[in-house]
Amino acid sequence: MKKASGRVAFTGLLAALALSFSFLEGLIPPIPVLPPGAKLGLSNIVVLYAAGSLGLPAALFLACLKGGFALLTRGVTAGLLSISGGVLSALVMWLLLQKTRASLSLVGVCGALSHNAAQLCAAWLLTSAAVVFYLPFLVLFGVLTGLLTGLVLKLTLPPLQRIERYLLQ
Amino acid sequence: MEELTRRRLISRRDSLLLAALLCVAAGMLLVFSLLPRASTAVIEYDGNIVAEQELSALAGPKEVTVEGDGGIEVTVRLSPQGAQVIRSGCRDQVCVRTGLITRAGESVLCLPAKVSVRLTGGSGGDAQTY
Repeated sequence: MKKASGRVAFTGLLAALALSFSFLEGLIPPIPVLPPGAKLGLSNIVVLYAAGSLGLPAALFLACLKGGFALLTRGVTAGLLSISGGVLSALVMWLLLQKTRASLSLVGVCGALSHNAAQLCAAWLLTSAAVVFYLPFLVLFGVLTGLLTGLVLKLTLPPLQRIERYLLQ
Repeated sequence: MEELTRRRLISRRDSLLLAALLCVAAGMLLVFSLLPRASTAVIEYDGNIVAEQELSALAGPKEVTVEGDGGIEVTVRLSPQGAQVIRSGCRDQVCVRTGLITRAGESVLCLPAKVSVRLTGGSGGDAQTY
């Protein structure tokens, strides 16, 4: 298969995967103990993989697509939050993968934290309220979900690599 | 860049970094819990104050309904303990799920409605600026 069309096909596959994850997450009923609005960030697994194997443009594309999906299914506010968090997160993860030898867990955590940070800023811009109080909970939750992201990616790398190798021959 | 498959899941340095991060979060929580209890509740829409209530002046709970963006109505229950959004026309209900806030500086936000409920004040003369 030619490399260019293979990349397009693979990116499309990853996009579908990311959206499925987003949809799945939306089905989980909100748990009262956790900070409201906190999500598992499963679709970040896909963005992390794209950042590491296809590069920054692909990762950013996936982030924007997720934002568009949130916009269409959950409204303008959700779309804005998703795209601001997603773009910053994709950028941070790509930078870490490109410039450092950080482990997958750290990259996942930094991705989750930057996602949360961008969303916190967006929330602050929309309401100018003291959002600083959400910080400790977002840090804790970001670390936990980031670790989960890194772990799931590590576990699903073999099949993903097989598909990538086949499509990008 | 180092190929994804060759990256480790976690390294010693990284786990120390993460532990430090968690300590920072715990520290923040400690600082927040030491903050003074609130004295005034301020409800804002789109950055403008629409309601203000001295909490100590309340004998019991009082409900205030504010109309926000997109016609979303947000109902806030103010009491001597603090404030809580008990009902909202928004889709995600994040504001309702936030629950009761009691400390000065804490806030409940309804982003789709652009409504915020903030607690300010403390033992007289405190300057709380954000």
